[in-house]
Amino acid sequence: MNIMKNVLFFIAVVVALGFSNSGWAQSSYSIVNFAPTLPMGNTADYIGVMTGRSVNVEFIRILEESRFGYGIEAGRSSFFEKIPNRILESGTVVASGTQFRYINTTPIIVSGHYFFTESGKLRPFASLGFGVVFQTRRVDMGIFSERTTGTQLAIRPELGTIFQISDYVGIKLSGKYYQTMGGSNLPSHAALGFNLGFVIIN
Amino acid sequence: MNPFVEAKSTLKRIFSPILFLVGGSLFFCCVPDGPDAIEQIDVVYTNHNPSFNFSSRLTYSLPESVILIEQEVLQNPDTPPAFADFLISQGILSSIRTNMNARGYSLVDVSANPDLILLPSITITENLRFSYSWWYWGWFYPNFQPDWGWVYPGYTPIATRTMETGTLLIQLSDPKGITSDNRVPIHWIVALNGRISQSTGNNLNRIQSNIDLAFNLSPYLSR
Repeated sequence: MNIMKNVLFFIAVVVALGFSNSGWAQSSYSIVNFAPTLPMGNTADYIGVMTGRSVNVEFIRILEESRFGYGIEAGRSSFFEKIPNRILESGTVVASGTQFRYINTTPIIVSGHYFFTESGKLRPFASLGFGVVFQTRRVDMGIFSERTTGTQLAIRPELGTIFQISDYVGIKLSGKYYQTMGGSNLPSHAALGFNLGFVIIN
Repeated sequence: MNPFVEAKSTLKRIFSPILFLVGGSLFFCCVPDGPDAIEQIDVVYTNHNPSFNFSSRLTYSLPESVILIEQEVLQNPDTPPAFADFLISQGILSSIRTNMNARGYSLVDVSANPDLILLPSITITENLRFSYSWWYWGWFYPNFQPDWGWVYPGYTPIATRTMETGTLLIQLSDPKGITSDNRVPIHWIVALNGRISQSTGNNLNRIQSNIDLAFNLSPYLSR
């Protein structure tokens, strides 16, 4: 019962904080994004199905008295597609079975942001990020499994807006395009992420 | 400081780490899908000797039963292999016969000096084994000699990890092509791999349809 009371108190304080209005400087955003992601380019050739198994966290700091900011993002996306009755030929080998294809990506991106407004409830922005994407591709066919991993340089433009619900809480909507450079063992990765974020404003 | 403002300040300090902790934990919640039916795990694998002229052969022979190679047999080479379940065994042999006959080959008794001998075996082991001990077939193969072995001319059969799976191996041997060092050439191999279900009927249906598929994937095996 005591735990329940504490939880309710915690929720009440959070709600109170969320809807209260003090004069704190708004210098940073901490964001957790749910990020349904659509594979594009080479990635779509391998797995053509949009994934909802995608999340990322961001921290954005806005420079004082400026429309510019910088941030860091870390995320995870898991793509999956089942391809039934796939025939593989390699030399004299022919194999047939249902393929289960997986791609896991973990981008770590640093970014620069430009906000189109200096203040207000709605703060549209554009950002450009650079970083790395750790990519793992796996294909399972029955007992056979092939796994390839790689780390690729990535560029990530983003266009979106933060809707400020209260002084300390907001919602973020954005579109991010991840494009990596192909390596020797893995082709380039491309994906369009639609981000719906919960924003803590500091 | 106003106690309410102080509470907000404290909460803000702890809330951001919680936010990232929740986000971080979500990273590991993204469990992808996998097979949702036993048939989806089945794999048909074929490999062959590209320089062997399959169409020049006329007759073939089959054993009366399919042998069952279990882990104990592999660990204890003196243990003779058992035979597979009668229904499964006859179903496998029937499918092989149907496909071989449809491709123009004639079934003859093993004593009639066949051009080809097909050797089906089921393994329930941790590894796919093509080069299993030769003497498993000593009870059937004509002119058997204890020092014989297999050879796979022009290609390499696979060996890979399995997990509680059953594999039907079919080896197409050439009894007339025994090498000077007593190796029997295997010119075509099939591995049908899948998880064994509790239903004999389900297992047999899957095996038979996969045998048909293996022959369809091997158009060179025809007269």
